[in-house]
Amino acid sequence: MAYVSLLVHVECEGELGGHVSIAAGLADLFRARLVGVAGWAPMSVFLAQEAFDNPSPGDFHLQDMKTLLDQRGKEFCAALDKPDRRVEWRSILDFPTEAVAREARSADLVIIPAIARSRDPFRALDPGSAILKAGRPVLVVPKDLASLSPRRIAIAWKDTREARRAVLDALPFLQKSDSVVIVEVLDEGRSNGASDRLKDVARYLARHRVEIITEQVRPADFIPISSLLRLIESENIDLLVAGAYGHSRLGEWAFGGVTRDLLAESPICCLFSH
Amino acid sequence: MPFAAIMVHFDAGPSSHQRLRLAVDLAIRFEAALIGIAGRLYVPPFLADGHPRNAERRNSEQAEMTRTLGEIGEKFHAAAKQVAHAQWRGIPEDATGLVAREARAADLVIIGRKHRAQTHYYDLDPGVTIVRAGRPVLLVPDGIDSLDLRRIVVAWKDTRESRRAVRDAIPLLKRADQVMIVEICEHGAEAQTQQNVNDVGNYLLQHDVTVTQKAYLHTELAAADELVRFAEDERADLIVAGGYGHSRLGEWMFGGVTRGLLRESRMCSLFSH
Repeated sequence: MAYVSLLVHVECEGELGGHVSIAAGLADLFRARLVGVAGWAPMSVFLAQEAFDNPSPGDFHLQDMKTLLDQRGKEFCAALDKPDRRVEWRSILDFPTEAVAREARSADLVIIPAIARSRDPFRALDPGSAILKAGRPVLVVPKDLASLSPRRIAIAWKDTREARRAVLDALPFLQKSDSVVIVEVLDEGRSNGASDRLKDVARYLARHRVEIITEQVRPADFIPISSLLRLIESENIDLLVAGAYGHSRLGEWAFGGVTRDLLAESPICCLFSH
Repeated sequence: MPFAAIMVHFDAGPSSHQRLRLAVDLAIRFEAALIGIAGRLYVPPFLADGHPRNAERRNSEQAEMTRTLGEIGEKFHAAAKQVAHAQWRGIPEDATGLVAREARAADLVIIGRKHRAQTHYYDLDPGVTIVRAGRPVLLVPDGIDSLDLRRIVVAWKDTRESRRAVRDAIPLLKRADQVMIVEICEHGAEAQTQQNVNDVGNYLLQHDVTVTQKAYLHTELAAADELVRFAEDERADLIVAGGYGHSRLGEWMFGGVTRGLLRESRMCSLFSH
């Protein structure tokens, strides 16, 4: 489906950040509603939202949190206010990762920064967990990037559920792009059927009116992501679409190597699906 | 995105002709391409290698499978004549892995229920297909050969799978007269449940889908039974739900509602994982 509602994570303090500018730009591009979400978990996470909405006079800390988040919301709405742009604000008394994942139900695309500025565990978003839990495509914006024109898009293909999801989730971006490269990086040099797979994906995209597509099969490098990073540079890619590989093990999220490395090192925005 | 391509598992087994009729009708209504698919794997993998006599037998069986799949493909094309773009994929390998992989070519995958009596190696495992396809999967119970989209029940829960299911179902919800969202709720959590369901309703409204009824159910029965009972009382045509499953020591385990709907529902269900 089209992107008609976008959700951006807003940190509780400091500058709004480049990812918020990018989110605003995308809201204009897709003519979508933009929802800003901030999460801040109180020391006791068992407090109900009602206690937050109507703090009793004794809850000085909660009162302070509420005032700060309300101010942040006003700041967000004022900074993004523009005719023809619909902006909304939600602040939630919970860990940002939980808040973003849960509120993702009201959006088609989630936009987050690659690195949380805050070191406070009650206010810092964990990008990896957000990607795995949202059930929506998540656009991860690297530090210091404040604009995105997604003209040249690369898809990191692999025959997995996550990559199939990523292609479907990215359709609105792909339909607005000038060109798309589908690339499969081979595991240990085995190429059996890779170009047929890529052609099949290209045919699927063509049915959705994405037509300017090239396919590339690349050998793996010793460091798995360097092949992708070189492609991004040589082809001037603006946006990388990829499956996010991860699973929960003993309550900790474990990530596939490429996902982890892209989160840490990608110079461009990445759209992840799980 | 509207459905541009629909995939249907058609292996000429019990009920698969009815399922194909349903798929043909859906492809025509959505003006989508229709891809028919079947896999065949007669020889258990642990017997397939090693013994030379087995290798010889495997070759002749391989040829026979390919011929059988070709014949099924002809039946598929005969039934899908009215679809503008129909394509057949009959490939001699395990059906479950095959359908999940080839789902890359479609927006929706239509499959049938598991037949416990059958022991063929070409059976498709519906649960595993749901968790591995990366696409919404429409499960068609035996004997059903058409899908009215008038009344749809969305089974909501605040999870990734449920969020996926709602978004994946939008092309179907857009054609419905009645969209009902229900959440199974614990006693005391009514206010939160109401808020969740309202929020999903508002999201759907952004996509021009009007939710006509929002409800929460208390469970006395198992959640799956409660859902099915609600959907039957409401004469629903389709239940939309998250498909819950995870792999443990190589075995797939499924959540209670998913398992219940896979086994018992007499109406079509749309699952996303």
